[in-house]
Amino acid sequence: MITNKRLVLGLGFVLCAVSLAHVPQAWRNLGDIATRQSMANERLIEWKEAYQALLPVNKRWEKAFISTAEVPDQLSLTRVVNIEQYGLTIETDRVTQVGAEEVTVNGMPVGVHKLCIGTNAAGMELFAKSMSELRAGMRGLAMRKDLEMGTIEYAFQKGVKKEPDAYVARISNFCVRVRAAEEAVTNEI
Amino acid sequence: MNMNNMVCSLDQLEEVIALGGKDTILIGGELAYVTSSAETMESVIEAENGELIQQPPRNAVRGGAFAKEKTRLFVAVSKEAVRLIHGYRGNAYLLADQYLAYGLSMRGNSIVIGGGVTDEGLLNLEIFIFSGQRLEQTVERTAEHVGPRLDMALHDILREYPDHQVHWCYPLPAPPICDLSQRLGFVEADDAPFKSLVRRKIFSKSQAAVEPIGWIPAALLAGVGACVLGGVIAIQWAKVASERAEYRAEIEGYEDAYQNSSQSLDLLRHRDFLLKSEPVHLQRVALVDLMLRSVAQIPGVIIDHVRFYDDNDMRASSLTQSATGTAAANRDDFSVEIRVPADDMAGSARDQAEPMLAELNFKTGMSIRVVDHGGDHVKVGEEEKPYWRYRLGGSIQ
Repeated sequence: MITNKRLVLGLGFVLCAVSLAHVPQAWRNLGDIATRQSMANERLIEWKEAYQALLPVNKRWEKAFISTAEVPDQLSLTRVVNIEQYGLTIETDRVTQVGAEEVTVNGMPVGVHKLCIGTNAAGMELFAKSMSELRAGMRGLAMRKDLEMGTIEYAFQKGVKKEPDAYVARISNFCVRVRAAEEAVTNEI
Repeated sequence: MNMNNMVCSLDQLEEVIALGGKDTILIGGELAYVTSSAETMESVIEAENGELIQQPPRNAVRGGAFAKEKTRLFVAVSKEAVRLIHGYRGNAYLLADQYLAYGLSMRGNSIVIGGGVTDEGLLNLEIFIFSGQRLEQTVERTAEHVGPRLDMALHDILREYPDHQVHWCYPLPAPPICDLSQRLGFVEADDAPFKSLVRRKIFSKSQAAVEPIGWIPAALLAGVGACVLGGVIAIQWAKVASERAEYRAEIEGYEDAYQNSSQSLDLLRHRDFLLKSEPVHLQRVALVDLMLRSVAQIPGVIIDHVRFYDDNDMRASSLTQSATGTAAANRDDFSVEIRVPADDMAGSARDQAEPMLAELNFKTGMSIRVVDHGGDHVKVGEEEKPYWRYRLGGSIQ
């Protein structure tokens, strides 16, 4: 016979059964969430380790390239190049900016532009009093990572009228690499 | 609690109601029937044929719902009394509930005797026997308010429970001097059971369930399920929360960079690559140097230019005649223009160039060819001397 007590007990049993029936699903679902989160954590940690290992690159990057803001005109660009320190000279008054381009590595912009300057349409002419000075100066200039040089030509230029003879390096695509104003990676260590 | 508020008969109840008071009244005596036996209650209810309204059974053991063995006190109230009570403006409770609570509150074994005085002047004794903080049984007796009669009425009970303390309670009048009142452990409890009233509603419809409805076990059963589910959720959620906390701790300060995680990492890698890689022009400067040194060793040479092209220089391309007579595009890595003194003994400009090129090829490791040549005169001192002008090209391989 169905008594109230049995009904209530049955109700309790049903509620208990319903709760217990949901246990495996709840365990599984929350377990899945925890597993996914754990995997996301691992990915994050791996990324962070790689990222932190590479972060000092930014310091070197800042040291290697001057900021765009610091070179508002070609005169300041010429100063950055500082040809004189290599024992070479240029006709400063004839320096003009001949082009600007974004530097990419594997097709990806890396936050650097190259600003190209020249003393004539063919490029930049650098002078020295002797071939040995020209060679030494060019070797020093070639070590710089913030410069790009295209075709390189050494030539002897005979002095016209009373001008002395000169040894000249003609360089096409003579460009200075400058950092873009906005930095994509800002984390410091 | 006023003695006048204890109602033990219909006459008394009618009188109380007629007075129109609002005081709390306690119902007992012949208006209520109590027993600890479910069977007895059942048979009494049946015998009275609807004249008694059964009330919910009371827990009659200390510890109530959590006691191992259930003991209950079954209560029924006169139908007429219930009807009158519902017309009463004040509260009405049962005397039996008060005696039961009083008996259960005592640690020692006890016999609580309450009841009332009937309209005929007899003592209607409601006797509650408690052993081990549990109602053992209830007994109802009627006796005259005379010592020997009273002793005789209770003789068997007192003999059966010799060590039980006897509590004589209101609304019974003071006991006569008799064996009962002289008994060791006899207490005139008076109104002690009513100090703190048990306020249980008197139902006007029969609460037929003799058995308890069993909410507690059912709730416990449902609770167990809910607890297991809650526990499972709590355990797993704690894991999720812990993982999330770890994530938050790890990502702190790197949110922006991680948003484009692959890009930010690639950017750094590419920057690193750019910083580590040697400038392309470094090799070109070295090659110009090498070519210059090599060419300078040709006796009497005048070097007009030594030029190494970059990949985009259009001047590097030229058309040459192939062996089959068709024109083919040719790209040089360099261009060298020199003048050398013409040696009559060596023959033509081509003839003179051959050993010179062989030596240059050997010294530079490059593949050098004559692109163009011609004659020239160069003033050496006061004298003009014949020179061959050569334009050389080739590849660095």
